Amino acid sequence: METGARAGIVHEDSSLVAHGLGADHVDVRSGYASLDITVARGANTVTRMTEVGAHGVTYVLGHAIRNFARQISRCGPTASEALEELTRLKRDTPHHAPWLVAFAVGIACASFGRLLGIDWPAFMPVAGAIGQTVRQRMLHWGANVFVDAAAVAFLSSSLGGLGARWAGSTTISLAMVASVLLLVPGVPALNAQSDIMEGHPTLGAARAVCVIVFLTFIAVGILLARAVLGVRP
Amino acid sequence: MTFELLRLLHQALFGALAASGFGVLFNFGWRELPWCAASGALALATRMLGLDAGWTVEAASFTAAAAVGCAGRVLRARLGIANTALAVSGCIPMVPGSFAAQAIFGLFELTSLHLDDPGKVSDDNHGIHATCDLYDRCDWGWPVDGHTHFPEPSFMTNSGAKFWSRTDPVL
Repeated sequence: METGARAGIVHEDSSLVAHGLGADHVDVRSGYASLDITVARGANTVTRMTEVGAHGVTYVLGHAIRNFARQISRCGPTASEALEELTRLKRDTPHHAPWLVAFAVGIACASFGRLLGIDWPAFMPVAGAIGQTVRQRMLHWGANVFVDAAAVAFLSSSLGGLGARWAGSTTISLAMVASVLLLVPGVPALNAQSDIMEGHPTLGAARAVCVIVFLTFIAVGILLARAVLGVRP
Repeated sequence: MTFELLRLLHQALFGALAASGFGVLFNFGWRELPWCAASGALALATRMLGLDAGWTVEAASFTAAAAVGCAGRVLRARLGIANTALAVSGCIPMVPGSFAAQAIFGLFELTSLHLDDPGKVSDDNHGIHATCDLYDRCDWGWPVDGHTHFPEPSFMTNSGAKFWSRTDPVL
């Protein structure tokens, strides 16, 4: 869940791991903030609930966990070996350098802007890059994700708008929107749809509500920036 | 023809840049990033072709997502279980974040309507149109006898000419 996997993947991998470790029957209930799993072997049954941490998107870790779940189902290591390997995967999975992520996000936001129709003077990767840097810092300090979204939206759209105005762009308002597209929760939005369509409406609805609230905070940030800069939509 | 080709290349290029940029954000490995770019380019190019053919944005986006998903399936032997994640990365540039933001701007504007100053709102109301796309790009009616009047959606009248009114004067 914390790697951005949809509910179907979580259920499938949980089942693979439990069966690989010797369970006869597995039931999983996935919520937005917790996972419940019941494992049965013969006449013995045990149910556990575990908390889900911050929802993020980490493809490399998700991919590694999926591969390891398949490995467990084939090779059947002991529970302690499996736990040790999962802990190692979480600890040692490589991440791109923060400066590279900020640069890539800046380019992506500016590219989104071109797809939306901004002109060349408004092609400003710097606004998105600075926004991503501040976002990483604020999350590192433990800021609330929604407050973080509003603050970064305000900062990025202000920078995007100022830069576009300075460069003589005629699409300042669009440039301000494009600068905050790094914040749009695209993967949760797609996961919400997938979860609902695959028979997990509770989780899907929770994701969808979070997406809506997130977008609302982003919009607040942009509106504030527009008010400060005096930009008309 | 050359202009159309350039536009197609433009959409594919920036779709590829957007998808691979977000691939870095989502921590895709270096080996997968070119596939992210290819996925984004295919999605945006397909969507543009659909839109040029006169399809709605929904139909064009659906076809583009299907194309990316099918391509992932075809390349499954090469991509392994990554094919689904790569298809998602290609579809991310098509998520209508900008439209969603405009819709929320519209909601904010709805809560700040000045019923005694319709001209002020009519200057601001383009965001409302995004929110109220269900109203077939309606024009807003203004208070008559203390009530707020809205145009009736065309799916109710087929003409869109009649008005229905709310008795609640405040939104």
